[in-house]
Amino acid sequence: MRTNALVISRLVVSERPSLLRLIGRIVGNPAAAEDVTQSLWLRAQRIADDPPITNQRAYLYRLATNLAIDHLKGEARRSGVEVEAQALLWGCDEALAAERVVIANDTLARVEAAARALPEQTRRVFELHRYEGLSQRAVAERLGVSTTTVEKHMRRAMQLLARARDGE
Amino acid sequence: MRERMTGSMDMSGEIAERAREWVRLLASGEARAGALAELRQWLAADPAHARAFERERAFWQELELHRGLFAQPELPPVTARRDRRGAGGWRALPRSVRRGLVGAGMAACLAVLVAAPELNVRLQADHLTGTGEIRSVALADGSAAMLDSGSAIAVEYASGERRVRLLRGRAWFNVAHDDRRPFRVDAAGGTTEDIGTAFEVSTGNGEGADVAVGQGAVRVIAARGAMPLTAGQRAHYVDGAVARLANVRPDRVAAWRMGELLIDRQPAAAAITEIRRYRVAPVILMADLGRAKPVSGVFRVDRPDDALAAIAAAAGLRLTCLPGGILLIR
Repeated sequence: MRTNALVISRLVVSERPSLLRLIGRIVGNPAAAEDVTQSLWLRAQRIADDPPITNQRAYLYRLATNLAIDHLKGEARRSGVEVEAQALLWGCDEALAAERVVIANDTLARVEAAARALPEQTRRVFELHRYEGLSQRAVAERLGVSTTTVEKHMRRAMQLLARARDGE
Repeated sequence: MRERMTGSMDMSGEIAERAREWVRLLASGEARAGALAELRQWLAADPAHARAFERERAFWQELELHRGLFAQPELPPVTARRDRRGAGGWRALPRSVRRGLVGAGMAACLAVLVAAPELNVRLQADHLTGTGEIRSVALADGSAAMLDSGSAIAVEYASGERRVRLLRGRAWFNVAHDDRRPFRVDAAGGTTEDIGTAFEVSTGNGEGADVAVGQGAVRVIAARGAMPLTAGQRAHYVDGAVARLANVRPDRVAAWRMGELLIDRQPAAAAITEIRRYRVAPVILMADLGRAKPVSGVFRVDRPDDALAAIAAAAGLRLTCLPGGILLIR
């Protein structure tokens, strides 16, 4: 089998839990997430070695979001606006792909330090919203705070992380 | 001048902040149609807006891979596993990797998933070898094929030609020559035609296939070119084009037949791919091998782990053994 296809297929298996979470967040339904993850594996089988893929893990996650968005678009149940918002959030402008940089190790170290330095409540909001797939409103309900407070924490977290990324 | 610079920095800072706000809104689950229209207008208004948005959005997406940074310091299930295994290697892994591996251990679907393409090859193959197995096959016309570890062929003989398809891996052919019935090997979109010879066809080092001639001559035929090769010559074809590779000593062609693996100034990544053929459990490469030094050596195919250890040492990489025989190279 081709190297890329092999490596990425193995990644699909080993990273299945987090892929399921990511896809589940986009498609909004666990059963559909299973289907999309399965199709992801099939898709991974067909990846060629040319052009070479330097970061196969990042490539896999990109592929996963693309498939999830495609699935969402094909589904009528979700509101059109939310589908469009997710497509915008998870899309990629090929013309500007040069702006996309895989987080380098030193950058990652800075982002990690910033993440660890986040105030506990801010970290919790960010984790629930970004990684647990709760909407901002659901986070507000869970933590018993207003949505405005959640927005404020998200804004703060994103700003601090971006500053760390930029080395400021 | 100074003022202007400060001004433009303030502006790019403002644009970045605005871009992040758009990303936050898209993720919030609260986006309204009017806001999306406004976002599109904003993006179209200035290329700097589109660039900033792409950058912030890419960062948001990229963070997907770094969930571990935001988890609470305590992770009970992982800690428990780590204690049970007791190995430093486990602990030494980044938390995100450990988490992924814990997931891998419980993936019951794994066998089924891995079996699907395997089944396809098995259905087509007339002869196949398992990992670590090297086997010689006598073909009906008196020719011989030798299959390397993890390889499969399908034999399709007709009155006008003898055709063998290399479905996977690599094989060496010693052909009983017959002018009226050419011997052809199809692999990865190209064909190697014998002109009285012994030769090797090899796939699995990426796209396309390699051909090396031990005796006599062959013709390598791809969609956009053909190339004659004689003893000691090698070629690679991919996407219809054929290119010559460096010569080898003819007696070293398909050294794996003798249970040896010859690696001659190959990039570390290619060498590791080569050795992976002989290993049942996966080898996971996490290092960027772009700058690793080329490696050389003669290894035994029945000792792939020794070979990997030697190559890792030569290329300045670290080898970590994980549960289940998985090797991690960093």
